[in-house]
Amino acid sequence: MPMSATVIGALLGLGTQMYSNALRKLPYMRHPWEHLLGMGLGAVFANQMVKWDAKAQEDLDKLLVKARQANERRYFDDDED
Amino acid sequence: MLTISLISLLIAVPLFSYRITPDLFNRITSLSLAFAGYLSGFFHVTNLSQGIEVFLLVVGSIILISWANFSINTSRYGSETPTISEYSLLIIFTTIGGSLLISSSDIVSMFLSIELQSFAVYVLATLYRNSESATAAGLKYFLLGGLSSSLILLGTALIYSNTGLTHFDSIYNLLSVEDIDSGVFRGVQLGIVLIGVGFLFKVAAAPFHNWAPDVYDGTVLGLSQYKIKRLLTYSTISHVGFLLLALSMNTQESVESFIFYLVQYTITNVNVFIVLLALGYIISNTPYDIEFIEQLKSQFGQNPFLSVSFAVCLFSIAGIPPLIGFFAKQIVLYSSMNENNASFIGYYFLSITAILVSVISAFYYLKIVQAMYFEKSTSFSEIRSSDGERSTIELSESTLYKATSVSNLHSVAIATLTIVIVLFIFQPIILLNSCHLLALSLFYY
Repeated sequence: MPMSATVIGALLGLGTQMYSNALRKLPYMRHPWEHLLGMGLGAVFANQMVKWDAKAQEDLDKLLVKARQANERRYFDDDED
Repeated sequence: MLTISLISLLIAVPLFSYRITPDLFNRITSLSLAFAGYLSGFFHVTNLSQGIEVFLLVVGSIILISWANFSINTSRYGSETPTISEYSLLIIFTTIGGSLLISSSDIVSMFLSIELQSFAVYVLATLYRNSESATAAGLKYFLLGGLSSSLILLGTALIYSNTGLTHFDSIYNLLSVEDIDSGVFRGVQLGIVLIGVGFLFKVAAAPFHNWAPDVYDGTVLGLSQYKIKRLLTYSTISHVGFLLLALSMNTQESVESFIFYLVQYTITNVNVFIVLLALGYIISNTPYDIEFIEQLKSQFGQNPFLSVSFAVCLFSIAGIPPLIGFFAKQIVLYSSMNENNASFIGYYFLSITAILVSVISAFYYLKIVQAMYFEKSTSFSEIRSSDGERSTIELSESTLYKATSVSNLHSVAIATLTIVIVLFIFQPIILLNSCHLLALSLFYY
């Protein structure tokens, strides 16, 4: 998973920089170090996204358990009364 | 972080303005906003207000990137043109106001935050001091903004005079008491209604939207618009309607759809305006902005990639699949027609109205796309402005082909936002889960 995230992120970074050059009507590969920087940033960003997604899923599961417990307390406790 | 940046800039502007270049001011402010957003995100990622605050700071940072790289003296607005330090400071003031407003939990801090944000925007509207339309727009915005602030203030005064409380939680607790005095209850209700009307004024929701087109551009309806910024303002008014539809239901799903809609609309709208700015810089090679749809004629031939980015944003705003805007509309309509809301027939009516309005509004977005892709540019065109006065726009071939002046960061911002809008469909779960998490944190934390 980290490998594919790195590859996809690098490709997105490269694509963004090429698209950015195209927007300014410049050669696609002008200043290649910018593309390299874009690929690096893209790879880091994609990996951070994967980590963020895992953490969000974990937090979400916890919150959903909390929500279910709150609902059970609200409805079943009323029934017992 | 933001406070330190503000104080530093306030000191730096008078002391070192002759040594610090406008570009440097811009970059420093942009960096401080991004850094503040980064730090906030690290420490409070599961909190609703912090999540939206991070987003606000990043958007503020992107907006600053799109400032032109021109010598300001060449502007048509004469020598009294704004400098970058003024612009950066105003953006930072607005962002601080917005950040404080999101976190405020007391009616006094809420009012002060709104004012802090509004004052900066009043000045921003009149940034071009020698421009008649900018001054008129600023004055109109100031007067109507003052009116809405007065309504909010009157509402807060009514609540305070009836309850003696200013904290949101305390007011909620008091209103939850069963045998509350009916006079107090009515007073608080009236106060809340007045605050609500003030807020609707501020967000330009219909029927309190009349000030917005004049402030954005300078009084006909969206469909008959030929001024692009007015058209986009009317589009904003219809999108505020969508946001309010989501907000009105107050369920977990609707809050989730509200956050998602807000995020995607902000991304798309920011991209629309920065692409428009880029096109303006390229067409005129000065800090002119695009005023009329006519000016965009045949831009696909001249600037194909910018035109594609612009068309993608317009299609997304219109809600055409598979772009991000389609999913936002879908999620709002789905939550409004959810079985939990089935008992409220009004939501069905509102949803059907929203769908119809979306279809109609797609017409005026497509009109812009048609002009860009299928109409030939005229070298010299005359366009009638809204007040009947004729203005002339020069679009000679030599002007159209002038060298690009869009900065690298500006084009990277456009490329990134366009890619987010287009590729959202391949990995929607990250944004959707984040919105779900933020919505749940509002209900269960």
